[in-house]
Amino acid sequence: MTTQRLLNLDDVSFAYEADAALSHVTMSIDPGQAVAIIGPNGSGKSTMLKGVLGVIPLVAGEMTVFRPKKGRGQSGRIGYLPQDDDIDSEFPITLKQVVMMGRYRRMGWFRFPGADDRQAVADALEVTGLTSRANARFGTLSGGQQQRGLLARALATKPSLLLLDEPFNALDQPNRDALIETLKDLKSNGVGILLTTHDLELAREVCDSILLVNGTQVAFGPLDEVLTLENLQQAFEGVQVEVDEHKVVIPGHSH
Amino acid sequence: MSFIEILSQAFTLPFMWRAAAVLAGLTLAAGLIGVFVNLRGLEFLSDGLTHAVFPGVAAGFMFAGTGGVLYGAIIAAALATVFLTLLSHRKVTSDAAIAIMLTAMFSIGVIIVSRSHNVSASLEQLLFGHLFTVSPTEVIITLIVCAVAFALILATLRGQIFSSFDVRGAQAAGYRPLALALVLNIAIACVVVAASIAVGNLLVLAVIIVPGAIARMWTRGLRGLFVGAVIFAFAAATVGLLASFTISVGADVSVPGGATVAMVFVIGYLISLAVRAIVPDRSVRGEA
Amino acid sequence: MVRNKPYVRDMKTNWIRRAWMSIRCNNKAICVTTAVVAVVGTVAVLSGCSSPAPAPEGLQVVATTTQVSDFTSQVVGTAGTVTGIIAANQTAHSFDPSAKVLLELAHADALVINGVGIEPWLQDAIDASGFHGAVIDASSDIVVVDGDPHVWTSITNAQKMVATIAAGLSKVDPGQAPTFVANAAGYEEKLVALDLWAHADIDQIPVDQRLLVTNHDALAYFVEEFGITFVGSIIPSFDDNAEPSAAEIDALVAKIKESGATAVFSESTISPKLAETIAAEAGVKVYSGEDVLYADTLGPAGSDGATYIQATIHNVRVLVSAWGGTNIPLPAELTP
Repeated sequence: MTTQRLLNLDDVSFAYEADAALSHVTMSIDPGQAVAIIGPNGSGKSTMLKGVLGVIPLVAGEMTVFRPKKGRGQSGRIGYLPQDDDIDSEFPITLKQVVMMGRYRRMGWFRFPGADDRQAVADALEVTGLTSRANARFGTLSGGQQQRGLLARALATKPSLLLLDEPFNALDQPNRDALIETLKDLKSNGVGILLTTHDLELAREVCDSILLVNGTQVAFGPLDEVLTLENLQQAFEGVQVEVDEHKVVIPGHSH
Repeated sequence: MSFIEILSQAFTLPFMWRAAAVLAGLTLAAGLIGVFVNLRGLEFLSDGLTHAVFPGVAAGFMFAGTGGVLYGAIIAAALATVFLTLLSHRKVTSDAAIAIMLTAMFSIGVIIVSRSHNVSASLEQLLFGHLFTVSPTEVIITLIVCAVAFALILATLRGQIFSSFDVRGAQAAGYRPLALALVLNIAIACVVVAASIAVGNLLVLAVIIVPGAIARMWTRGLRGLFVGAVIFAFAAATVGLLASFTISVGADVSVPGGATVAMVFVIGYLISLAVRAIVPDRSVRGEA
Repeated sequence: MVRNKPYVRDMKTNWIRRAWMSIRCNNKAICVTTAVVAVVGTVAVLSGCSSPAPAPEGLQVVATTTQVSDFTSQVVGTAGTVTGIIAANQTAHSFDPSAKVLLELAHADALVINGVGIEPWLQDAIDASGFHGAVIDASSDIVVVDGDPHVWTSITNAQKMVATIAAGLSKVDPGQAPTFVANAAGYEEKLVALDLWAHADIDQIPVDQRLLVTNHDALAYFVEEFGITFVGSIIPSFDDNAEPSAAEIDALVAKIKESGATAVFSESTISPKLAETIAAEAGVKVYSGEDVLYADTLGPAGSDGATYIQATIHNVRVLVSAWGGTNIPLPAELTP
């Protein structure tokens, strides 16, 4: 596995339509490292992910994203799970075909899906527990199943860097546990993970580092260094915060 | 003459083969592209492009006579496509933009027509199609235009599917939705021009919209969509062509070729709708 | 979610799948392109080689306009089959041939046309049908004025057209030439009688009262032959498909009032509404419905203008009554 740093940001600002949506971010992700982006609503968590993808323009600073290899290479992709979807539930597509979309970039323009593509899809479906619904129309799945389906799509890409926007939201407890296990597996395989979440407990389970934001970067670093009362008050200004030695509870944000 | 005699006579005539060639090219392209028109709800945009072709025809005729009509149509379609694609990515509601462009272009066309007194024949040909009197040159141009449209969409097929389903996901995966939209709109414009020759400008929508709509009724996922649409389009066009010939010759009722083809498309849709209402839709459930 | 056993493929279907995969091409572009090229290529190649169907028996003649078709029928008589392409009350300026028309063209030995550019759609139809007979231009002997194609409206011209048609058909079917010539001569006699009667009927009206306003400029040769003053037409062109602008309508109304015309004459192929509007504005009468003029086409079978002679008689009678005259009776040859 490559030891190339997956992501590096140096005083980066992302902006959309003349408002600075997120500014002054300095952080990095190495292979096998998981970072949780934490902050109140509208603080730019999703913006961070979209900025890394290039969907929201970079207006200041320097960002280095490892170059994905084109073609049939095993490594070198970015997988992305969006938070909400504008997905048409009437769209005539099965779950399996949605997951296969994750393989499209690898397949390029002209290739039919090959055995390894099908295997990746099958693996992703199995990991997210959706194998039994593989041939159902995507729109007939429940909200939670759809999100798991999109997660499967991100996983099928066999990414080196996985970006997840609020991945735990629509999941019930057993599925959450399974996702945590999956993410840990991926980490041990050298995949870098960047996720946003409201749930500090879950972040603590999976991630080594926290990026705390509130329109701008408040702090970045290992979990315990960042999750201080002072930092949290700065990020979640005006909101009551409780800290004990096991977890941090922010009213309205725990599950 | 008996039915069989009529049919066997049909394909000894040069105009029937030319009509068949035009329809073959058109239905292949329209079937494929129509699926995306259906998936992305681009019916009104297609209508806009159809109307936008009109001033191109009028201008083409004024500058270059009947030969210039086709090229005028192509140019107008290209301009309208770019304009619409760019507009639809701004904050202007795309329906409003389409409506404005549609009426503006059409009015320009009417003004051009009123200045010239003998453009009406070419105009009628464009509005109602001239399936049976396509010249060999027109056949070649139409086939080329359809081939371009077909190739464009086939080459970008994966991106188009992704972008139609989940724009942000596609963007995140590295596709460029704006470029894909432009390619799709160009392909639609090509089909509009080709269909204007075959079935006429007024009936282009039938050819573009119906095959995709029918295929969608019967498939659960992507797999049958494209093939189904193309097969239906090709079959319906063949039936329409032969019906037009048979009715015209056998029953001595003068039916225009293009309109008959469009009629068969619509009838096919109604039949499909009726059958679909009766046959239960298993696509909604569906376990592995 | 429980972690399942690793995905196991069903062994039975596995070998089927592998067999299918091995014959299926792995490159979508090549597969699809091959299929498409095969289909389109077959169609295109076959469209190039097609031999015409066996023609029906006897002389097959196709004629374009209703007038020319009438002339041709008179010349051919029972010596062949004459089919008219354009139906009664249908415009000749634009036309979308049906499969039947093209089929008839394919079988035709001769095609009689009016010419002078009134049939711009003709070349396409000829090309599409694979017509390989002789084209007879009925106007080849006529002096065309200002590019106006409505040459048949002058009875003298009509006689020349009949002669040209007879000559043309005689070349196509020399065996029956004597029949054609005889038929043509007989018809031309009737036309001469028609001409004399029309002149006599119209001459009772003083020249300055022979004022004509029509729907489109279709009767120029008629007007010239009978000393009529053409005030103007609603559609200021030979083509019947344009719409007059507000300025043009105003100008026409002014001209009508100035000239002292008392009538606007509508035509069988055009909606009378515009004529009615202008007539109301100018304070004159509109002649439409049964009193419509036969300009571009003849009327349908059984109507007042089903043949050229009948149509001309009708037109003259309507005009003369409108101008305040009394119609003189027809000579014996022209009485049906």
